[in-house]
Amino acid sequence: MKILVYAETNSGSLTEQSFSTIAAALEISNGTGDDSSVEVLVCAADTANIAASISGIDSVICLQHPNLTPYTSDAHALAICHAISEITPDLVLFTYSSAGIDQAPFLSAKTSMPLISACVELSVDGDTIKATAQLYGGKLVAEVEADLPAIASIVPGSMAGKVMESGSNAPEIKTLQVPTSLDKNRTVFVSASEPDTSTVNIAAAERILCVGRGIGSADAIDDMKALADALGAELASSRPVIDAGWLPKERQIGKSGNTVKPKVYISLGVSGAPEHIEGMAGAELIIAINEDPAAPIFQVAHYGATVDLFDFAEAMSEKLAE
Amino acid sequence: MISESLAVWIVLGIAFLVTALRSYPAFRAIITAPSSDRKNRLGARLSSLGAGWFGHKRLLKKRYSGVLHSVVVISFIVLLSSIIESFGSGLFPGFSLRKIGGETWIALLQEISAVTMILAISFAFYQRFFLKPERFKRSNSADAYVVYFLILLIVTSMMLEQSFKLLASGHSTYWRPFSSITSDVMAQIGVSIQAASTAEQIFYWVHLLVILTFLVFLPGSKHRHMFLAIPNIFWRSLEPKGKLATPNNSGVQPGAKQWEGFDWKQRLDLLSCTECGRCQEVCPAFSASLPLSPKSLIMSLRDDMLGKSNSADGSSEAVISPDILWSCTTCNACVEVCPVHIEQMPKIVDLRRGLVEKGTVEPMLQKALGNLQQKGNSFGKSSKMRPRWTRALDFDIKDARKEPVDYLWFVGDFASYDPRAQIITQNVARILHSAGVDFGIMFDGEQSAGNDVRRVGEEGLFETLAAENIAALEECSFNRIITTDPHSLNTLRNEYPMFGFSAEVFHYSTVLAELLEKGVIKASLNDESLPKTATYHDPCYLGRYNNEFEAPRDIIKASGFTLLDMPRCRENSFCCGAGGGRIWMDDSAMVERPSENRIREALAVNDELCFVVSCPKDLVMFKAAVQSLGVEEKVFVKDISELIR
Repeated sequence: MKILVYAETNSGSLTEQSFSTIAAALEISNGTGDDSSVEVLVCAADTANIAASISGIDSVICLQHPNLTPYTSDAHALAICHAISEITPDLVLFTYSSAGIDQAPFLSAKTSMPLISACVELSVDGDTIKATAQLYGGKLVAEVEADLPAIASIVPGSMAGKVMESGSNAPEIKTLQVPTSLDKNRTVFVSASEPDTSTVNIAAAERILCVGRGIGSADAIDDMKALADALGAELASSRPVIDAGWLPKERQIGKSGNTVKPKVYISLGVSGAPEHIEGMAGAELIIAINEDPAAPIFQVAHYGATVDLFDFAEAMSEKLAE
Repeated sequence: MISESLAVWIVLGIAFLVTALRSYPAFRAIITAPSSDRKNRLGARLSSLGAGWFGHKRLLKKRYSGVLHSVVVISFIVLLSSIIESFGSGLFPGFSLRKIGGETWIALLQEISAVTMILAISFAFYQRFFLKPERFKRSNSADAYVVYFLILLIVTSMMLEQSFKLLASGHSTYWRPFSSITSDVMAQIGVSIQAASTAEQIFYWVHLLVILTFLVFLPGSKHRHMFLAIPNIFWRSLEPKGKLATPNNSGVQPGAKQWEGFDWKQRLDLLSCTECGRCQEVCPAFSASLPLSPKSLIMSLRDDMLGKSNSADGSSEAVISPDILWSCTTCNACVEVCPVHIEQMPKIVDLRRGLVEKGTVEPMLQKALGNLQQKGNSFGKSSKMRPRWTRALDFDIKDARKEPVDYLWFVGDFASYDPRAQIITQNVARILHSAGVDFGIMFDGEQSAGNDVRRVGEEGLFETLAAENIAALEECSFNRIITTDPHSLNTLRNEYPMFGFSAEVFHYSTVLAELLEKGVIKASLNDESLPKTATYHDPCYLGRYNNEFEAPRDIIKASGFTLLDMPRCRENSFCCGAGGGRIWMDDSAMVERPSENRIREALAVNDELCFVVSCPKDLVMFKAAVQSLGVEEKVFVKDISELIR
């Protein structure tokens, strides 16, 4: 059987996620027997360098056209459909990424091949594929079967931790004729913007130390940062701290800031206005320190203490140092 | 050689023709506009012109500009006689006002008016050029300077013409004291009678031509308000302030310009703007450095309508961007101060309706609207949770759906769901209960009244909420409605009648003040640790919109506080920033939140004071502001019901 992997490129090279999907294809291929092959489809404006970076597979199919870089949905859809009709693979693999989510359903609709999305395991058994696939963002997993030929998208990193063995055998490079329909592109690329990596994303943090106005002044921020580092946590705050300019806006939790769901949320001197609670009530474990026993934060906290927050911070730093 | 009379006729004809051509864009905008419902109640309209136009009621709130403007208008009316005389004699040789006193009392009035006009224009120039009030920022001052210059030219040329005329005729008169002085001076420096006669003729023409230049200039200038202020005030809205007009859907057609849906009165509003900036000065969004200035909004729409906008390619691109429109708190302060009664805020709501129709909605607002649609409240909580606050009470509240009550209490979203406001809601319930007031609530049968839903432009959702509330209310037996939330009060009182529902609606401060007067309840400053001084914040939707200013103040005074009003109070109150759906939107673009600006204003009144509010949203906004400013030890935000024992 023939497995075709759609490879994604970024700035002239294959994405890391695509390598992991190619590795998954090799694993599936190994499970089926000797007569199966793995081919990788590269659609880009300049395919030579990209093709040269891939090894350990049977062949690289190249489709080269200026309109294929940067990525646009309609150009790549045209290219993929064209390649599929030329190669007629038994199984088409996509990465369960933005591009994969974009392209796989379109191809499925166009070719009437069944599609299994978000696979975390996949194997071939005769004329059918058996997959374990995620539903509802991974909250449920389903066992699914489909008849070949079929399409599947693989959750990055879920299969085959092994990277491709490099250098073993150089794949054959085939270049496909480009369909003329690619000359006219309905989507026009305007610009790409990279996320600012200098900013923090407290929404992704597993542990958060959140400080409120109770810390009194900007002078306390350094100590709190040190405590957060010791905890392996990101430092965040409620709105008044941001308003006072003690911390940047990107560290704000609440209605007008970030909504967070960390594993552990520790608050020091946060009273817990409803707007703040809206942003953190989903945390798995909430520990609140506030001198006022009537502070609303205690209504959502799992653990709490009505002690001076600086005493608590000091005691905690000492314990962590031990 | 053509006669002088023919020359005047020709010049006048050309001037009128050019003026007409220059007025055409404005004229076309009005005649092609959708119709408006402003043709009713002529008597009421006429009688209010007295205060609004002739009385300069709103202008005089600013002493300097108000007095100036009054002097200019009165002087202008008097000097019209001189214009009539000049043109009359030019067009119809032999015409003169002499028979009715043109050379006696009218002449004297003209002389005085000429001087007062020159003085007034000088003061206006001094204000605009040296004092530079903030409100003039973004106005077209060049336009104003041209007008000052033209007026000075008209008046001085008229005076010089008169002076030379006196000199040429060889006698001075007490009826023209100032011209007589100048003519005497000129006689002494040796101006001959011959020369004076020529000069008289020259200045006659200068006077005439400058007047016509002024006329030609007017259609492209904000000074067209000379003609448009009167009709604009005459056709202003006579509806209750709290009742927005129902949408006129012609504006939401794809590709239409934003003003294209405006009816002729809304368009007349745009044309009437004097760029005085009073609206900008009182706007909470502008003061918070949000992108909205009501003045700029009106000016931009006007320029676009007259084909003068910056997007010269004639594209239908919106001249008012969504972030400008979402900035408005619908506090209505702009509408309240406009001397020519322009309705800025209703236009913003109208344009917001267009945004909602297109699905261009501020992200946080979108979430709130989703909640309102699904759950009937902006919090996204279940309706079963709405009466949860009643559990903390040691008595039962009547279910107005099951038994008749005197007062049906329409509690409102914030008062029901927000934990800070709930404490006040419970407090009000205890007061009403202990005062023996027969009241009940609708429990989970109540939904958001929809006042702010309507003001963010979601008319459809507002209608749904209103219909469901009215259906629930009609199942209940009650005599009147009480609300704690001024926003709910406003729409229940002023807008629900559009759907055939009418009931007397009272704010709790009114009811509490009545109970206090009857002696059923007592007010006292019960917490000795609180400051003895208080100030009161008038909520927009209670004060400015619904004219309740006294009841809360009566309660504050009765409870032993020294009440000090802030500079911006009563109908000039400054919005907390929560209205018009702003409470649901992101405020991080604000440089200074209106609520914080307001707390600073209060602190300027006294170092330490109770800040009394009578609206659940105010309570939430100002408590947060006090916390943000870190003045918890100085300003104590209290609800009016907390003063009742």
